[in-house]
Amino acid sequence: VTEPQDLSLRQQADAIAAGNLDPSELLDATLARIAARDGDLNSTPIVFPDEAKAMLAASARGPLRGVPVTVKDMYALPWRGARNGTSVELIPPSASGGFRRLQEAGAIVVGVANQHELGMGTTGVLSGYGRHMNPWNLRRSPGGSSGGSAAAVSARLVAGSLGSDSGGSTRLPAAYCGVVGLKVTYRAIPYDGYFGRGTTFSAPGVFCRDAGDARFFAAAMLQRPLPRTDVSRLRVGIVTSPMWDDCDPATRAAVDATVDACGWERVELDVPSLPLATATTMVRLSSEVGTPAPDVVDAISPVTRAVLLASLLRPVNAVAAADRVRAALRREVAAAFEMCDVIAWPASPAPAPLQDAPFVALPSGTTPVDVANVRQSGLANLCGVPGISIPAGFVEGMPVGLQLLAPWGDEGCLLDAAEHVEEETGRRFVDQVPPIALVQ
Amino acid sequence: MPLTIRCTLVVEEFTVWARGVFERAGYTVSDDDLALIELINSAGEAGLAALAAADIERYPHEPVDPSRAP
Repeated sequence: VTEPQDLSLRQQADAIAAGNLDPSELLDATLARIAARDGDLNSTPIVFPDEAKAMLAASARGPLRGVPVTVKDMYALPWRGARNGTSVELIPPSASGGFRRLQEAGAIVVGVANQHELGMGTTGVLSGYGRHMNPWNLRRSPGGSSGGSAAAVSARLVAGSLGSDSGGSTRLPAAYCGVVGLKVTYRAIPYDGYFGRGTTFSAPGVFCRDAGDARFFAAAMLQRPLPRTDVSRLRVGIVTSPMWDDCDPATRAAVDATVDACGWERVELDVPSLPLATATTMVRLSSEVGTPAPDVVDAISPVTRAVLLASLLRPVNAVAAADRVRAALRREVAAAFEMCDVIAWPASPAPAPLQDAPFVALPSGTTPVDVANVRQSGLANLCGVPGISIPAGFVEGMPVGLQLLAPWGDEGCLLDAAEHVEEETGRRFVDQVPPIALVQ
Repeated sequence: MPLTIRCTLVVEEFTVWARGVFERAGYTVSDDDLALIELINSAGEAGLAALAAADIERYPHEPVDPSRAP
């Protein structure tokens, strides 16, 4: 470690609290690093030097006092409205619930994290701020929709970022960028000023370099302690088909080996309605996001515009069917958690695709990456339960993640499991640093 | 006076119907928009077809409260 931005979130907070690190120096160094390193990455297109200094001057003596973070464009800030990855202000400026939790913890918002336009994709190829890239390979996707959050943490621009997750938008980019991404339980923090406030599935998500940092950040956001417990005897629920079977074989093997390393008991699960979960998620997503006013639709990219307009053509009976299936899925997942402590499968079915070729080759065939990704992630959103992606290996030089889901409100179990994974794998995945982060 | 009925291709019917839906909602769409919409619909077609084909009687209607644990 040669610069303060390279310290972990906990180390930054501890050093500031102990008087060993001047938060003004950390802030200046963070802004300088974003300016120097983020050019091709484009993870943090908007920075707030003046507002960040004002936040620092008035910062609360909370657990994150003086620690710089970025915030996804779905949260309104007192000095800037939320644009949700477009060029149009969609929510007016305010101290959103997410912002207030950061402020009360003493964190400093240094910039807006780039994201897939309107949160309607898992690649980051479309954004009002321009496409953003993966720190491990600047030709590949950082994931989405919170791709800027994951990329900034992976590239050591900031040690923490607040994102969101409406259909995997925290877990997928975390997997692609080799960081920890925790989607919290639905409605676990205040939703005012948050673009997902009108949905039945969107939830905030935190990004950090490792599980210890994620625990620290999540406890501050949830405003409750998340003490560590022993999870060496965890029961892990496995749904073999299609969640493991229909993944890129190398990704499946890497994630499977990581689960093996943990020594946990595996429990085969049957979730009968799971084959319908992808369509159910997509129908609910499109029906709830709705279609913005014509002037907004005219200001977004043609593809996102078409995605939004397509939802207007969807028959109402599809929504009715999706709601019935969703109710069944929620019952089936509740029953599954009677048999296991967490449910596990690869966070994404394959490593990050090239931004110019957003498809994945799976045993079932070549598939648009968004469809394949939502299949791996939508269940947690339909059920509102927390989920996490933990670095679990490398394929083609790119990170892949292990996804775990836990019962409602049990973020602590996921963080315990994530720390166990890191220990049992000798931290050899979580401590890997992308090449861009080694350039001083 | 006898009514004249003209048959059109299905794809043209889709286009006319879709344009009507969008215009009623206040959106003006181009041919490119419609082509993209058809492409997007085709990407999720298999899943949606499975949902449409599901035996809905297996899934009794029950209210979902998303703010409570399943």
